[in-house]
Amino acid sequence: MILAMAGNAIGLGNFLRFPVQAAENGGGAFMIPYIIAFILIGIPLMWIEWAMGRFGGARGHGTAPAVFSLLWKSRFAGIIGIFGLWIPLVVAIYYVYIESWTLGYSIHFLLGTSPAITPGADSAKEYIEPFSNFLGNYVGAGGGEILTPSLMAITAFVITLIVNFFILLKGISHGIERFAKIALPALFIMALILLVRVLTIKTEVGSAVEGLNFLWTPDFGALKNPSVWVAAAGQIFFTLSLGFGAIITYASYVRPKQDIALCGLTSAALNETAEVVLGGSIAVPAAVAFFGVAGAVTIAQSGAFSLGFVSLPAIFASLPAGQYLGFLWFFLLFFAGLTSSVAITQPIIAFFEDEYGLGRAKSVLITMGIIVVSVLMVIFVNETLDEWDFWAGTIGIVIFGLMEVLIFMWAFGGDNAWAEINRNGIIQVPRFFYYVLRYITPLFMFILIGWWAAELLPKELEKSHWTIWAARFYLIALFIVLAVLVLVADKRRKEKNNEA
Amino acid sequence: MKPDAFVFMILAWGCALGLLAYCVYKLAKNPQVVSVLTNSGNNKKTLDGSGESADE
Repeated sequence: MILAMAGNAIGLGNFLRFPVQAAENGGGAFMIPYIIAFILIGIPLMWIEWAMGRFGGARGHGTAPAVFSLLWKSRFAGIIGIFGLWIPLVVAIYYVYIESWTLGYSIHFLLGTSPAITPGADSAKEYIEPFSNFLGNYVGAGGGEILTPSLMAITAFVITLIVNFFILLKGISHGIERFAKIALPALFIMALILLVRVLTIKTEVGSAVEGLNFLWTPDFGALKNPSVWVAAAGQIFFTLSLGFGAIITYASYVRPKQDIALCGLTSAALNETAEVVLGGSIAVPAAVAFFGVAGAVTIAQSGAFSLGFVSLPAIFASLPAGQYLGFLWFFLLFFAGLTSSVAITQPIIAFFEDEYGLGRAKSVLITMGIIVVSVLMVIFVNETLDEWDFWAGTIGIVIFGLMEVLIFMWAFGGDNAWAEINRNGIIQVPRFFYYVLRYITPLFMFILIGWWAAELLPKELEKSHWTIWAARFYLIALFIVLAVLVLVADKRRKEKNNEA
Repeated sequence: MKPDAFVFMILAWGCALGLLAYCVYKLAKNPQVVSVLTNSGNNKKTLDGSGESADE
């Protein structure tokens, strides 16, 4: 279960998002707010989600609506809990598609059908242009409203869907846990091979060591900028998969008398090792070695996707045996994505199992059916992916995380919550964290949400193209469907309790 | 490598690896946690959707 939890957390964000965030926000100095956010938000929320999951699981429920209702005797509890199904479902829909790109790219590299470097290219822009066009053709982005993805994109997506389906069909212990036992060590080995290769890169422009200098040299002036602190807190949220509802569901399978304090801490530690040690030493150092610091900054500013799917393929293509390194890189990302996608799909499956008493196969089939129908919007309607990522994967998870803290530490009661976290713990959580959980974590998250609302929301609401509105309406429709399902399940549960 | 970059990199790596080493040490002292976690469910929920609890 620890490996499954770590697999949930270790995803594309560790290898792509973290180095970009660090490079853009003060290099080594970024680690100061990052570590503070890890201690004040990351670890506390990890313990809360594990404790909530174990608490709910012992009472036969593994998803947010029912768990929240157990913790807080209010009709609002179930309503807030709907977000604990909606967020992982929405993210799973687009995440599986992005995950399939990594498989598609790994196949392209293995078959030698990935693009080649333009002869005579002497700037980063010229260097990466064929790869940028390749990504555009892969997803079918011709600048129009409707996307026309390549045959490989569709094929890789179908394969990815089938792989997810079979892992989920096998259940937690025979599917997800067994897969995590193989995937996590394989992921670390692949990352280590890439790390060794990247750190030995030396070109006329620079070396990977200069990349490490660029990434880790502290710029203490950046700490005066509030956006650096917000970026660090946001990264902690994404990287530990907090606020997705997946940890609650996974932890609901833990025995009631089992430790969660050490297990939660271990899964967070595994994620941090993958992120800080491995994630920080591959993508950005390689980019600096090839494009110099200025080029790497431009690449980092163009986002994690550009770094992962455009710049790194260009770098691998120009290295000896680059075809195989490229394959290894994308297969690593595919494994990282797969361990996360099965985790974020699990809450909705567990909902059908726990609240409607459906069998595993039926629950998986219904969930995959919803994903297959919904993903058509992501695949074919331009900007849907970004829009859904903003509402569910950016703002949604932090608001839901705050709700978790407030319900667990305040509605359930601080002392009850503290006892639940420490119950049967192998380690005793220091008392200092009681105050962190009760006061500092929610305060930190209020500030984070306030900052984002002021900075990001106005820009987001300016968008008014029909594709954006279609994406928003679909999100609302999904929420309404889930709300109806939760209300019906709630009614059934109450009727059953009355009969008993 | 520049000394300040090196110091920050080692500090960050040290924090991550140190925390992991602490957790692994604690888990190694309590091997029953790992074996139970990887082969169990709780009393109410089922692990594979079979309808049978692992504890039953």
